Amino acid sequence: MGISILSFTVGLTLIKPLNALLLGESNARNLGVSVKNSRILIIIITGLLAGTSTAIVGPIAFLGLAIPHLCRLWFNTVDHKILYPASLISGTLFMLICDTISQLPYSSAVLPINAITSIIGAPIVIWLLIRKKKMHF
Amino acid sequence: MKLENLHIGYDNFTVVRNLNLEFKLGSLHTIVGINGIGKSTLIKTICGELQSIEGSVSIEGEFIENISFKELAKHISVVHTSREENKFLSVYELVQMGRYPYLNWIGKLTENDKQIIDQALALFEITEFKNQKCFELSDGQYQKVLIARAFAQDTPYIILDEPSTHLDLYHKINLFKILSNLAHNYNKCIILSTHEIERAIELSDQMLVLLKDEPYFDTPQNLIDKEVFQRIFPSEMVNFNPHSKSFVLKDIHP
Repeated sequence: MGISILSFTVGLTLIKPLNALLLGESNARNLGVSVKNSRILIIIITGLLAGTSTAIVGPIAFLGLAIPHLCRLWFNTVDHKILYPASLISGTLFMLICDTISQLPYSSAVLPINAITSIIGAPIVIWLLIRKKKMHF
Repeated sequence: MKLENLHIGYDNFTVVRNLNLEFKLGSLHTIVGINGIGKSTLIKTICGELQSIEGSVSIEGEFIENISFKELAKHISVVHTSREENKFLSVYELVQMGRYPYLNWIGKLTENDKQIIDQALALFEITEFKNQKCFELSDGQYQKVLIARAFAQDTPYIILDEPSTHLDLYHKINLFKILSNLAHNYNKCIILSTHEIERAIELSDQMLVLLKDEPYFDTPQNLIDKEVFQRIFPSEMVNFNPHSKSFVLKDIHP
């Protein structure tokens, strides 16, 4: 838990280089961003965040893949200053909704939560892949 | 910006030899030459992306290798035409990125930054599009946005790699006018590579002509007098006419 909060905080410092990288590598370098260092840091932080959350709650399918892309569409922006907290909050919300569905009241059966996230997440990912071809995201 | 005894190229393969020249503030410099002669290599070298083989590039007396990325971003801004930018950025977001070298870790804009961005938007007449996404713009408008980004970076040197590709004649001339305005009225040093040799002859203060054997750096009129332009292209197809200052096709179907 501690590690995950720590890497989230370090992740905040990546917002600026991530935004600069939207312009492509050479432009980012020209804006004073060290592309190599940022990339290494991005990989480490992503790894730590994914690793710790899997360790705490177990593997959840499709959530991490679908939510950031959905946020880009909902908020109609590619600015990481908005996307970073947005993904965090909508990911949590989405997970809570899925959890509610999996343990519906007035029924003793508990569905596996992966089934619910996949039912919603998989079509979104497929739709994104088809869209990507048309709109070069 | 001074280039001294500069040899550029990749690994053991030297593309251009013996560059000795100085790019001055307040003037428009163009780099011309046939495809593959080393224009892009030179641009990469002077913006610090590529190491030179021999010799040095220095800005205000300091060697470019000794300046950190962060400091360099306050001296030189570069406009690439690679189109690797994310087109989902809005015009305002793209232009504000020019302020990045001056911002804190989270990238918060101060009043001063906002003023400079507004000035850049107004100067390039793109204020009305500022909330549009870049993929909605035409090539001409998009090119202006990229240059506005470089202007917002507020650097004395602006380097552009073939900015006139993808543009029609009107927008090409307009682009050169904008750049010459930047150089003369804002005291910037503009360096661009281009294939628009005739436009460059009319509008630039100094030209660097890259030829196979040696580079020439001078004012356009002196270069015409030295008959340098005749040697840019193989002479069996195009010829340079020094009186009309333009290239003429030879009759290729006799």
